[in-house]
Amino acid sequence: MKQAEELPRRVETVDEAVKRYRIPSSRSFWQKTVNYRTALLYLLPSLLLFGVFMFYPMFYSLYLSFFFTDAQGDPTTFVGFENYAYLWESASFRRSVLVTIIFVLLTVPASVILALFLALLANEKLRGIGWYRTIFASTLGMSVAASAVIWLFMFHPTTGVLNAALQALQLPAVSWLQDSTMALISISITTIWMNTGFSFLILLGGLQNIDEHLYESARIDGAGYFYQLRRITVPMLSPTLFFIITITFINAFQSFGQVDILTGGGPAEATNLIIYSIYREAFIYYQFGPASAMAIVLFAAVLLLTLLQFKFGERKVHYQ
Amino acid sequence: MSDGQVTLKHVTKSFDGSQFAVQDASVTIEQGEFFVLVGPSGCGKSTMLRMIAGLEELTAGEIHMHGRLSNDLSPSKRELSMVFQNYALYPHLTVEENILFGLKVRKVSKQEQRRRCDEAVDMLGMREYLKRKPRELSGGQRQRVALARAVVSQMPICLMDEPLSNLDAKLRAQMRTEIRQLQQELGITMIYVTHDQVEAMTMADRMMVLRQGEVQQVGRPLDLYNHPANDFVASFIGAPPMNLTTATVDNSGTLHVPGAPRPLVMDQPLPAEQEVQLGIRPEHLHLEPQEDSDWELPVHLQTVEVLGNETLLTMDAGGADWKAKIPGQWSLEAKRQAVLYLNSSHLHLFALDNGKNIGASLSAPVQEEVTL
Amino acid sequence: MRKSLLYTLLTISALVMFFPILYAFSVSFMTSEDIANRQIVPTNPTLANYYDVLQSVPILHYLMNSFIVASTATLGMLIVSSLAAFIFAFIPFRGRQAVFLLFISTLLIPWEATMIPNFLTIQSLGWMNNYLALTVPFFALAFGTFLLRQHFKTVPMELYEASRVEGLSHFQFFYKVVVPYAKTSFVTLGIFGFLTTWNMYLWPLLVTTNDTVRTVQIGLRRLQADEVATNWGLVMAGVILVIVPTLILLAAGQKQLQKGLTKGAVK
Ligand SMILES: Nc1ncnc2c1ncn2[C@@H]1O[C@H](COP(=O)(O)OP(=O)(O)O)[C@@H](O)[C@H]1O
Ligand SMILES: [Mg+2]
Repeated sequence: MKQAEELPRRVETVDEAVKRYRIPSSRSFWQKTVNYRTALLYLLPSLLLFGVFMFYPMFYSLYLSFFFTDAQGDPTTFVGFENYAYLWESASFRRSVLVTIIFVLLTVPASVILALFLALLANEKLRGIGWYRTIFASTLGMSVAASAVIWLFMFHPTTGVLNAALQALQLPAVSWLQDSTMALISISITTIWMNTGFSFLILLGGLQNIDEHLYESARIDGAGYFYQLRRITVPMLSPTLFFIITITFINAFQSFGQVDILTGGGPAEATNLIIYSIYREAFIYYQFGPASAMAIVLFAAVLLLTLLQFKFGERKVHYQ
Repeated sequence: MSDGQVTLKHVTKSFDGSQFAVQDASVTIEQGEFFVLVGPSGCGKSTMLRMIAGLEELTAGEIHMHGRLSNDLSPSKRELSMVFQNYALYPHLTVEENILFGLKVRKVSKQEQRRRCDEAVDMLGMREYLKRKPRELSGGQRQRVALARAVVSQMPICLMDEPLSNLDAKLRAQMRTEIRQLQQELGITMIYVTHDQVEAMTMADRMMVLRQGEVQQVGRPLDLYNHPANDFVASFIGAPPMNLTTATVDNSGTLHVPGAPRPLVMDQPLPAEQEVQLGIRPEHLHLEPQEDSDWELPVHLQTVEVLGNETLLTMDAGGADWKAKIPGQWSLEAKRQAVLYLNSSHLHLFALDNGKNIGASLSAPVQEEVTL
Repeated sequence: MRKSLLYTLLTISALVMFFPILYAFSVSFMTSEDIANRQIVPTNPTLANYYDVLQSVPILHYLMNSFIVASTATLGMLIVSSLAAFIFAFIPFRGRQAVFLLFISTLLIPWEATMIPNFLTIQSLGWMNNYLALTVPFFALAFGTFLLRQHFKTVPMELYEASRVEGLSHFQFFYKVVVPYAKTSFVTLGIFGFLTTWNMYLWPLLVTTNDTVRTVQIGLRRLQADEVATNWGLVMAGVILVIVPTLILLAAGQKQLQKGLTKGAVK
């Protein structure tokens, strides 16, 4: 211990250690930036593509929404908020907004509840359950075009199977796609059916992640099925449910194919969802300015609603 | 020739810029030495090892490896191998592929790969499971694969971070011997991290005790045991830990221990009028006077546990909880008074404020240089 | 008791959910009389519809296109996303969190907000009626990057450190260790990517104006528009041809998808 006295006093603070003992790094700039260079190289493809196909178009949409354009989509005249004003005045657009809201309300809750119901059924450990799971997930493999064409046939007023069934039950035939109230409902049915596969699969995965022991101890306590459902399943599943609700919600605003094939937005614009009117405005009438304004309005609305959902929904979500 | 030598000079690491993970550590680890870093969990052992490996940058100080300043050398250029706590085996490769993985990366020739692999496999006796995947192996077998990987690399330095902590007690004892033998056979420098003082005591040529990033003492296991630099080392090394109690030095330099009938007169002059900590190892306490006993202390026995060929006593010694380890089987009654006999040269004195050892014994072997 | 109730519920649900597909399958074998008579199962099963649909539209050509598009897009998606995910899982650098947030923020940019400029971009790149337009924009995928990152993070940090000690370069570590370690997540994302790109509808509609690269979904739309009034059996035969590849893929990969996607969905 005697030598200890002769050594310099041990440093007391990090700053002092740095001041006294830090030696300059001999690594070159090139060596020091190896992580940056690697990161840049690996991220470049993603960043480039996001830039070209996400960020740039996002801002360009905004830009276009302040212009009139020619048929090639080149902005010709700056018009300020005129495109937005035009939307505000347009009865057709207001109708679109209303139709979209109704559509979302018709499809989102029904999709999620149906998928949850199926997932709960398919989560039971039974012989042959794998077959049921595959069937319930099958609509994930169904393209929107194929689904819509099948439903189009089923909705057919004379040869369709739905009206055939009604007739067999001695009920009057329904104009599934020709009646302006029914058309939106029919499109919603198709959409709900198409959504089920994906939501089912994710919810089933979520259910299977719940610890078995929770149920075992609940059963020992004598809790019934619905008590377990309310007190264990739903709270434990809430992050997954939240995810699915958000996805279904965002997807609802992007439902295009079914409208295009089943009704073309009709009858009398009764199923003219905003996304469909954007398509028509831009790619049928070549009105890129107003179409961009619609896209921006839709984007803002979806963003706002999603954020609200996160703000209020997340609170109810139970993370482990 | 300084191949395999590792020198740390004022090595310091801080993750947040204010607290030390490692504080001003200096030591030279010689070629062929089995050097153990030991200390309680979170004291900075892994951090120090990872700085040596080049996996963590230094905040200040220097690391010299093989006689060259190596602060900025990448891990693969430091000529070392490393064995991790969870073995870090590649799960998608067979045992053999795992062993040869590093050699392939370093473009070692095919024959040479075979030769080294055979050698390592024989050394560790693991030929039967060469074609299996890691998940089909037991913990001990995985451990061997990890060792084999270090062996085939033929690096002059090997680093191990708590390599035995995932094994059961019996296997741990066996692997301890095996690792030690392996190191001696290969003649490599070993830097070995553990939180287990028994492991450190049994394996180390020299060891370093760390506490909250601060080096407490460096030296040979027995020197640390016999001459702990401070109360922390004293109670960290040895099981049960050293007994401590507070004693008072009067103005004539005599030591008064609570409950003791006779004061102690130490051979070395002590600064007067202060409180100190008095320490004694449980195995230096006796129930009957020994030839060299020169002091005694009345205590109150609390429990008596007979453990085969030794007996463990717990007691109240002047207000402090003490333990005694006595050879033989003693069937004693607990909850009664007793007198313990000891030789005062076995007593250690530590300062009350910083815990430093202040009264070195008389017949001590020369102690290693300590940088405190 | 509880079991038979469950089986009843399961079977009814399965019938309802699967009915449209079964029905389409059944109709594809019907004669036009059967269809006019609103049969549920064909009285006189025939392959004529399949024969006719292959004659009337280049459906095999469309299938081929779809296959090329979906495979290329999936492969590109896997490569581009996994490179980015590797960085987010293993290579720390100042500002990484910000870049990651930038990636995640693309999840909030919906398709409709970008489709018009993207269409104009494709036009000015001269990519109309070109496979590039149908694949390249989908290579970068925040969801895929996130999913792979979640899986990559399960690779023990010790493996990364061991690889550094053994002298692997970043890229060697990536393809020798991470890719084999996380290969199931590649399967998951691969199936997901294939299904979604195979089923794309609006985008191929915009960027294809003739049959050269047109995918089967757009082919189906054309088939339906041309044939609806006359021959439903033929249309359904087309539908079956279109859905069989994805249904098989889904049935084979359902378990994998369910496990893999849940992990990406819920941290
Ligand atoms: N990467 C890191 N970032 C921040 N703090 C760390 C990091 N690694 C270790 N530490 C801190 O440094 C101290 C020493 O850790 P470590 O060297 O792992 O201890 P040991 O291996 O002795 O148990 C601990 O307090 C730990 O919390
Ligand atoms: Mg550690």
